[in-house]
Amino acid sequence: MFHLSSVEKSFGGVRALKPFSLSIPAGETLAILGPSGSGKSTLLKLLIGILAPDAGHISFRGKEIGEGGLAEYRRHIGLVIQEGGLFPHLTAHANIAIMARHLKWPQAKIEARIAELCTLVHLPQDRLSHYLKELSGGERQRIALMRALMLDPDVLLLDEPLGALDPMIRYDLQQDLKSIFATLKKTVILITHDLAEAHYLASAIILMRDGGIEQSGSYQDLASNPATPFVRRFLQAQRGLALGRAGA
Amino acid sequence: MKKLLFFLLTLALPCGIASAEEPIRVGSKAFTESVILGEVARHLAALDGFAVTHSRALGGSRLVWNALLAGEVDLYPDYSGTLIQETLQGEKIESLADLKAALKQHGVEMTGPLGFNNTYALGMMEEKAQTLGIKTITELAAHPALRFGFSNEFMNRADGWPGLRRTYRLPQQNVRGIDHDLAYQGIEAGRLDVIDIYRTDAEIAYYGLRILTDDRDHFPAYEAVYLYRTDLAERAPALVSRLNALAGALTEARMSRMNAAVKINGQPEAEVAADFVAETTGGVVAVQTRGFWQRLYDRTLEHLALVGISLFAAILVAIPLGILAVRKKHLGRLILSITGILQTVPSLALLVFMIPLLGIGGPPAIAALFLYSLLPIVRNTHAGLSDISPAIQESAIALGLPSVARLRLIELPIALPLILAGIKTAAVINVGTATLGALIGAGGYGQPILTGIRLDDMTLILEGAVPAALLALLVTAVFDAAERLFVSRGLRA
Repeated sequence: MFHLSSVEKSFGGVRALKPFSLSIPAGETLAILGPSGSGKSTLLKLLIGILAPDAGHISFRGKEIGEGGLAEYRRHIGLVIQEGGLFPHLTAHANIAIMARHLKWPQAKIEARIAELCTLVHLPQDRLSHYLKELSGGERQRIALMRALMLDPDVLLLDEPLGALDPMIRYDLQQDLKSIFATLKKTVILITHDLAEAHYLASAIILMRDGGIEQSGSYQDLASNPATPFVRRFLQAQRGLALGRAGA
Repeated sequence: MKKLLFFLLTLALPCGIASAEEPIRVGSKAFTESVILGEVARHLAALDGFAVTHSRALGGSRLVWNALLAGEVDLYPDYSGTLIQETLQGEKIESLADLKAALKQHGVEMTGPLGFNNTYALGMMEEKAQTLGIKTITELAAHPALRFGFSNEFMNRADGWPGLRRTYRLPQQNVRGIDHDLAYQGIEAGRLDVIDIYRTDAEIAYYGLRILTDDRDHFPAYEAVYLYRTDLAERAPALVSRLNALAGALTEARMSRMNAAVKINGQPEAEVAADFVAETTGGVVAVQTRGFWQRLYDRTLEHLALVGISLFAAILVAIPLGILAVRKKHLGRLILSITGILQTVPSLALLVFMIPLLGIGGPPAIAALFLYSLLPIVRNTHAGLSDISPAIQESAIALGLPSVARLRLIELPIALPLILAGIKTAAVINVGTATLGALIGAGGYGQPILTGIRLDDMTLILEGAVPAALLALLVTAVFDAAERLFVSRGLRA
C-alpha cells in the first residue's frame, strides 16, 4: 500500500527522520511505537502529505503521493488524532458528513452511510445532533473514527487515538477497535506509545528511536529476540508498569 | 477592490455636496458671522432661482480657501486683512486693488467691501481692565501673569498671536488655544483674562468687554468681501451682480445686530439673513425651517450613510487582509503595522488629510472612517484565524478539503465570534468618530453638536449627542443579535 524509500526529514538542521525505508502491505495492521521525539509524528505528517520529505520517495499504490493532487490523495486516507480534531462549530453529524457534503453526495446516501457507521462504532444515533462540547471523550473518538471512515478510505491512520481517554473508556474502545479492524480489513497504521495496545491491536510493530527504525516485526519477534539493548529496555519498562499496576 | 471602493464612495456622494444639477455651492468658515454671510449669499442665489447649497461652517480660513481653489465651493465670505496677512502672505499686497489683482492670479474674484471692518482686537472684562488700569495692548506687557485664550486660528496666523507678541513684546506665557465661541464663556467665568475678539462679535456688548486699543496699529483692516471663482461670473452672472451690489450696504452696526440675533437671541442664521436680504433687495426668500423630527431624520440618514458605507467597505477589505496576514507571515506583520499606524493618526487630522484627495463633504469623511475601521477588523480576523488549534487545522487538511473550502467551512466559522467582535468595535468607534465629519461638511449628528458649541446652545448639542449615543447602543445590540444568529451554538460558552 505504502512504500517509503530513503526518506529524510530535518527541521532547522535537526534531523527528525534518518534515511528511512519501509513497506506497508495492503491489509496490514501496523503499530508504530516509540518514545516522544522518535519521529513518529513526522512520519505520520509525511504520510498525509502535510510535510514533504527532504529526500527520498513515498509512494501510495505505486504512485508518488500528491501526483494527482494532495487533496484527492487524502480522501483515500482516514485520520484520527488524539482528542479527535473535531470541529467545534459543527454538530457530530456535520463533522462526519463534511467531506461527503463537499463532494455533493445525495442526502440519502449520506444518511445511510452514517447509520452504517453508527452501528460499526457503537454510537447511538441520537448523539449525532450534539456539539463537541456536549460529548464525552469516548464519544468524540468514536465520532472522529466515523468521520475518518465516511468516504470508505483505503487506509486508516490513527495517531494516539486513545491517548487522552481514561482507562475504562480506553479499554472499551480498544475492544471495539479490534473488532472494527477485523470487520473492515483495511490497512491500519496505529501510532501509540503503549506496547500492550500495539500488541493487542496490531499484527506488526515498528519500534522507532531517534528518527530511525530500531526493530520491526511481530510482538513475539521483539519480545523473544530484542535487536538492541534499547528494545529490551523499552519492553521492560512497559512490562514493569503493567506488573506494578497489577500488584497494586 | 479599488473599483469597489470607488463604487462605494460614489454611493456616498448624495450625502455630500455634489449632485447631478451642479448647484452653486456656497461655503463659510466656522464662526457665526461667516455662516450668516453664507446664508445671505445662498438667499441671493435663490432669488434668481439658482439651485444652491451652503456647506456651513466648513472650517478655518485655509480650509475654505483651498476648497474654493479646488472648486469644492464656488464662493464664500472672507476678510481683506486675512487674505493679505495670512492667505496670500509673501505676495506683496499694499491695497485692495493689489489684492484683487493677486486673487485673479488664482482664478478668484473679489466683490467690493461690504461695508464693515471686522478687525481683530483684544478684549478684557471691563471690571478686570479697570482694576488693572489697562486701556491699550501696550499696557498688557506690565502684567505677565495674565491668562490669554486665543482662537485656534489666531494662535497660528501671521497677523495673530505670533505677530502681536513681536509688535508689543508681550511676555505672557499662559497662552492657550480655544474655540472662539467658548472663549467668551471662559472669560466670563474668570478662567481667562484676555481673549481675541472680532469687532462685530455680538458678545462684546453682551458680556461687557473692554476692547483694548491697538496703539501700535498691529491689526490691518479686515474689510468683509465675498470671494468667488472666476467661472461663477459666466455660470451665474445675476448672482455675481447681486453680490457686488451689496458693496457698502452692510454697516458694522448692522452686522453686529445680525450676530446678536443669532448668538444672543437664538434666531436661525437663515432667518436673520433672509431679513437682511429682504431689507436690501426687496426680494423675499422663503426660509424653510425643518421641524425637529425632520432634522433628526435627515441627520440620521446622513450619519447612517457615513457609518454604513465606510464600515461595509472596511469589512470587504479588512477580512481578506486579515486572511492574507495569517497566510503570509511577513506581509501580515506589514499589514498589521500599517493599519495600526492609521489608527494612531488623530481622527481630526485623518479627516483633514482626506480633503486634498477627495474634497469636502461625505466622501473624505467616509474614506477616513473606512481607514479607521480597518484595524479592529484586520486584527480580530488575524487573531481569530491564528487561534485555531493546529489539531483542527491539520484535521481539516487531512480530510482532503481544498484550501478555499477549509476557509469557508472551517476556519472562518470558527473565527467568526472574534471577527464579529472586531466589526462591532469598528462600528461603535465609527458612530462616535463620524460626528467629526460635520467639521468637513459631511453632516450627520456632528452638525448640531458643532452648531451647539458655536452658539453655546446645550439643547442643540444634545440634539446630536443623544442620538449618537443611542445609535452606538443600537449598533451594539444589532451585533449581539448577529452573534446569536450567525455564530454556531457549539462555539458559544
